[in-house]
Amino acid sequence: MSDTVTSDKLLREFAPQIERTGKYGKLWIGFLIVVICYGWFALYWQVSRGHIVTGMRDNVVWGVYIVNFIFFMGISYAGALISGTLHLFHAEWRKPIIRMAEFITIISLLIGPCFIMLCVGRLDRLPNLILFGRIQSPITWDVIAISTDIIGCILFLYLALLRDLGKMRDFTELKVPQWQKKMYKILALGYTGTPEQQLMLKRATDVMAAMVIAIAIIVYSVLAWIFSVTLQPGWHSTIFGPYFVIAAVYSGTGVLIVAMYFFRKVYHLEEHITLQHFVNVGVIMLVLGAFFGYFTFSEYLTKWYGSEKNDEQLIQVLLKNYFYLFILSNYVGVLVPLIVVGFKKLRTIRNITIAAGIVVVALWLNRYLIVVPTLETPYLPIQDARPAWQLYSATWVEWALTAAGCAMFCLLFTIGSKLIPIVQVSELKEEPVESGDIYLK
Amino acid sequence: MENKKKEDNNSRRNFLKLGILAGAGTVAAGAMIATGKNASGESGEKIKVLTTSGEVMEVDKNFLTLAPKNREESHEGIPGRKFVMVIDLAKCKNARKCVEECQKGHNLPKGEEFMKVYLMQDSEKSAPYWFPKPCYHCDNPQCVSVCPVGATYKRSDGIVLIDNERCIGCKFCMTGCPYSTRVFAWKPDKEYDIDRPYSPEKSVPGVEGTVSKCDFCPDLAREGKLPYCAAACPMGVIYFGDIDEDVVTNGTETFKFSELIRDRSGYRYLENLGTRPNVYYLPPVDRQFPVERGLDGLDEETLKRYDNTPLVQKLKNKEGKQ
Amino acid sequence: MKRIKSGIILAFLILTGTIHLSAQSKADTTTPATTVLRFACTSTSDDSLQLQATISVKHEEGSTNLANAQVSFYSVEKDGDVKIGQAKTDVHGVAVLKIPAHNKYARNDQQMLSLKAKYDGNTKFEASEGEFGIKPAKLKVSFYEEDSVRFVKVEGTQLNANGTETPITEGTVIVGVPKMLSILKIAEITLDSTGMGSAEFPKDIIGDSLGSLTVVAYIEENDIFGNVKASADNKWGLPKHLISPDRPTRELWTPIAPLWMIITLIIMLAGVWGHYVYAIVQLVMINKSSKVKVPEKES
Repeated sequence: MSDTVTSDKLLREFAPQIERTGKYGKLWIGFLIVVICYGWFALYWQVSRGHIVTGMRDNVVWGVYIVNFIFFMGISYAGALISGTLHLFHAEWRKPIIRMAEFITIISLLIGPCFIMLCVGRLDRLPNLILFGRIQSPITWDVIAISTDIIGCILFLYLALLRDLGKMRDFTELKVPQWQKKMYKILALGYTGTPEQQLMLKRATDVMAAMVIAIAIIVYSVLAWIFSVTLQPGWHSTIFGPYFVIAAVYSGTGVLIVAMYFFRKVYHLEEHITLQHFVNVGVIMLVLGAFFGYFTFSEYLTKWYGSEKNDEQLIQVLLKNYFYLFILSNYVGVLVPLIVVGFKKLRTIRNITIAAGIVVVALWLNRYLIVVPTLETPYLPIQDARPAWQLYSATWVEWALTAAGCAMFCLLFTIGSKLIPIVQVSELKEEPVESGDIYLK
Repeated sequence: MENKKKEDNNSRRNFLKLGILAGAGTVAAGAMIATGKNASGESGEKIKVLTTSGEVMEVDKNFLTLAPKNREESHEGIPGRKFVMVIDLAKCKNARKCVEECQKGHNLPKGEEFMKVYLMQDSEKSAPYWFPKPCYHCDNPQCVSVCPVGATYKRSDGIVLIDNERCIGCKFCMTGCPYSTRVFAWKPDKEYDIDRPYSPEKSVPGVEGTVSKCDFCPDLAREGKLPYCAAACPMGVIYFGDIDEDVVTNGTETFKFSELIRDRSGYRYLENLGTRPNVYYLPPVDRQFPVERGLDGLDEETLKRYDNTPLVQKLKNKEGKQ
Repeated sequence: MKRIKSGIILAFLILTGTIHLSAQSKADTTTPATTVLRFACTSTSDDSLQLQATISVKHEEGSTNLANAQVSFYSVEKDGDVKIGQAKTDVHGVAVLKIPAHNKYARNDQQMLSLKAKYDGNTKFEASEGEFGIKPAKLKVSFYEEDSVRFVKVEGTQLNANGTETPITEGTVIVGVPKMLSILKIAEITLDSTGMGSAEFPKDIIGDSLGSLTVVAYIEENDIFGNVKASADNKWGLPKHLISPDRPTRELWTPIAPLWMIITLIIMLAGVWGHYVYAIVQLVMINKSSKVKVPEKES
C-alpha cells in the first residue's frame, strides 16, 4: 500500500516533465534541430560532390568520422557496463541514474554507426556487407557485434523500463495525449507486479545484465582489433583491445556525470541525485581514469623506449604537430579527474562535472590522436606536392556532421526524457519493504 | 567527288568484311563478320585502328584478340602462370614514363597514380635512390584479408584484383596495405566517364567512391604484351615474367629470374612484414649517373614532392651557401 | 569618304579571312599524312621466305598502325621491278606474304635477292616503300648427348642462285627457348667452316609440365642472310610445377574462411543470442500471465 502511495507521489513529482515542455525546453529543442539541419545540408554536400569535400585523402583515409564513431560507441558502454555491473552488485544508490545510463547507451549506439556510413564511399552498396560478408574481416566482426549489441542493449533497457511503463499506464492522473497513454499500455505488456512476474523479470534482467557486460567488452575489443590487426605502425599494438574498453567506459562515466548534472538542474532532481551519487560515479571515473592513464602510459613508454624507426617517427609527429592536444588528452584528461575526485575537499558537484567534461573532450582527442597521426606516418614516406594530401585537416563538412551527431544525441535524450521519467520511479522506495517484493535486498 | 565517296564507303564496308579476317591469326574463335551493330562475338570494347580511307576506326576488340574479361571471368587467374616483377634500382632515373603510360592506359586522372616513384634514402649516410613502386600482389595480402565484402581478391596467377562494382569504399584495405599502394576515387573525375564495359582486369573505367590500384595488366599479359610500365621504361628498369617459368623480360633483355636474383642480389621491400610480395628489387649498385639527374626536367608540381627529402634539402643548402 | 574607307577595310578583312580559311582547309584535306613502312624478310625452315611489311602513320600523339592497306611486293631486277605479289595489312598494320625459297627471281653479285615492299598511298596517306636484301638460307636444329653432357647443334645452309645448297660459313646463330613474353637466350653459336656449330644445353631450363621444350634458333639482321628461323622440340626441360606452394583453400585471404574461425563465430553467436532468446521468453511469459490474470481480477 505504502508502495503505491510512494510511487504515485514520485510520479506526480515527475509528471510535469512528461506533460509539458517549458519555454527554454522548446528553445533548446529548436536549437538542436537547427544544428541537425546544418548537418543534413553538409551530408547533401558530401554526397553530391564526393568525398573530396572532406579532409580525407589517400594517406589519411579515416578522419573525424571514424573518431566520432569510436567515441560514440565508447560512451555507450556507460549504460552497458555501469548499469549492468551495478545491477549484478545490487548497488542501491544506482537507481536514480540507471535510466540516464541506459539512455546514453541506446542513443549513442544508434548514432555511432551513422558515422561509419558517412565514411563509406558507396552507400548504395551497403547491403553487400550482409550479402557478401567475409568473416575473416574485422569489419564484418564489427557489423555482427554492433547489431548484437544494439539488440542486447535495447532489450536490457526495455526490461528495466517495464515496471515504470506499468506505473505510467496505471497513473490515471497523468495529462498526456491519448497516443502516449496507449503506448504505455502496449509496451507495459500487462505487467502488474505480481510475484511471478517479478521473478520472471528478475531472471531476464539478471541474464541480460551479464550479457550486456560481456557484449560490451567483446564489441569494443572488436572495434579495437580493426586497428590493431593492421600492420600500420602506431596501431599494431597488442593492448589495443583492453585499452579501448577501458577508455570507452571511462568516457561513458564522463558523459553520465555531465548528463546527471544537466538533468538534475533542469528537472530539479536535487532530492534524488545527490552529491553522493556524483561522488560514487566520480570514484568509478577515478578508477577507470587511473587504468586509462596506465594503459596510455604503457603504450607510449613501450614505443618511445624501443625507439623503432616508425614508432619514433610517430612520437615525433605527435609531439611536434599535436603537442597541446597530446598533453590535454593524456595528461590533463587523466590527472584532473584523479585530483578532483581524489581529494575530499575538491569533491563538489560542479567540480566533478567539470572534470567529467574535461574527460569527455580528452577522450575524443585521444581517439583522434590514435587514428590520424598514424596514418600521417606510414612506412613509405608521403611524397606529394598537395598540402591536403600530406597532413589531415577536417573540413566544415566533417565538423558540421560532428555537431549534428552531438545535437542528435542531445535531442534524442531530451525527447526520451519527455516520454519516460528520467529517474526510475517504480523502484524508489522511501522505506523498505514487503516480503513479497524480492527486489529489495 | 561522289564516286570518291562511294569508293570510300565501299572500302570501309570491305574493310569490315575482309580487313578483319586478314588478321586471321589473332581472331578469337567465334568472331563473325561485323555487318551491323549487334554482330555476334562483339565485346563492346573498341580499339583504334587507322584505315586507308583515313578514319581512325574503332573495331570491336573481340575481333582482334582475346576479349577483356568481365567480372565473373576475371576471378579466374590466367592458367599456369604466376606473375613476378623485378625492378632494377640501379638503372632508374625517374624518367616517369612508367607513371605516365600507366595513367594513360588506365584512363586515370592526373593526380591518381598506380605506379609511384619515390626518392628513398634508407638512412642518413646511405645514398638516395629512385624507387618505383607498383602494387606488390603479395602472397599474404593484408588488403584481401580485411576486405569485408570480398571486393578485392587474389587469383591463382598471383594477381590481386579489385572488383569496383562490389567495393563499398570503406577504405579498410587502404589502411591494411603497409606499402601505401591503393588509391581512392575521391570525386567523379571526367576520366571515369568512358563508355566501355567494366573489367577488373583492366581497372577501367574507374568508379567514384571505390578503391583501385596497379593490376599487373593481366589484359595485356593475355595478349602476350608487357604491362604499360615495363614497356614504357626507357632504361629497361622493369622486368616482368612468370616465376614458375623462371624467366623475366623488360622487352629488350630476357633473363632467368633465379639467375638475376642470385647475381644481382635481389630482395623484397619490407620483407619482415610477412606480406611475401611478388616484386623483387635489384639494389642500386654501380649506377652510371648521379641520382640528382632524376630531378631534371620535372614539372614544378612533381618537383615539389621531393622537397622534404634529405637529398633535396642538401642541394638547397648547397645552393644557399653559394 | 568614311563609307568608302570602312568598305575597303571590310573587304580587306573578308579577303584575308577567306584566304586564311582556305589555307586551313587545304592543310586539312590536301596534305597526306606521313607513313612509315618497315620491311623485313625471314627464311623459315619450310623452305619459304616470309615477307613482312608493317605500315604506321605518324601523327601528333605518336603513331598508329595502318590497317587495310594494300602492299605490293617486288623483286628489284635489272630491267625493273618484278611484282611478286601483294597483301593487305591486318588490323595490326602488318602485311605478310610467303613465297617459296626456291624461286626464279634475280640475284645480285652476292647471290642475294633484292626485294621491295611498296605502299602506293592515297589522298590521305603518303606512299612509302622499303627494301630488303636477303639470300635464302635454312637452319637445322638438333640435339645430342655426349658423356652425359647435353648439346644443341645447329647447321646452316644457304640456297645459291643455281639451286645448290652450301653451308653457311660465317654468322652467329642465337639459340633460345620461347617463353611467355620473349625468348630466353641459351647460347650463341658461331658456325664453323662446315656450317655447323654446337653449344652445351643448360640443365635448368623449365619446360612445360612434362618437361618438353621448344628450342628456336635464329639469325637476326645478317647482312647477307637477313633473318633465318628454325625450331625443334626436346624433352630436356625441368617439369614446370608451381614453385609457389599449392594454392591454399582456407586462409585469411581466401574466399572461404578457415574452419576454426567459422566454428568460433557460431559458438559465440549462439551463446549470446541464446541468452537473448531466454530473456524474450521471460517477457512473453509475463505478457501471457497478465492475460490470464485479468478475468480473475474482474471476478
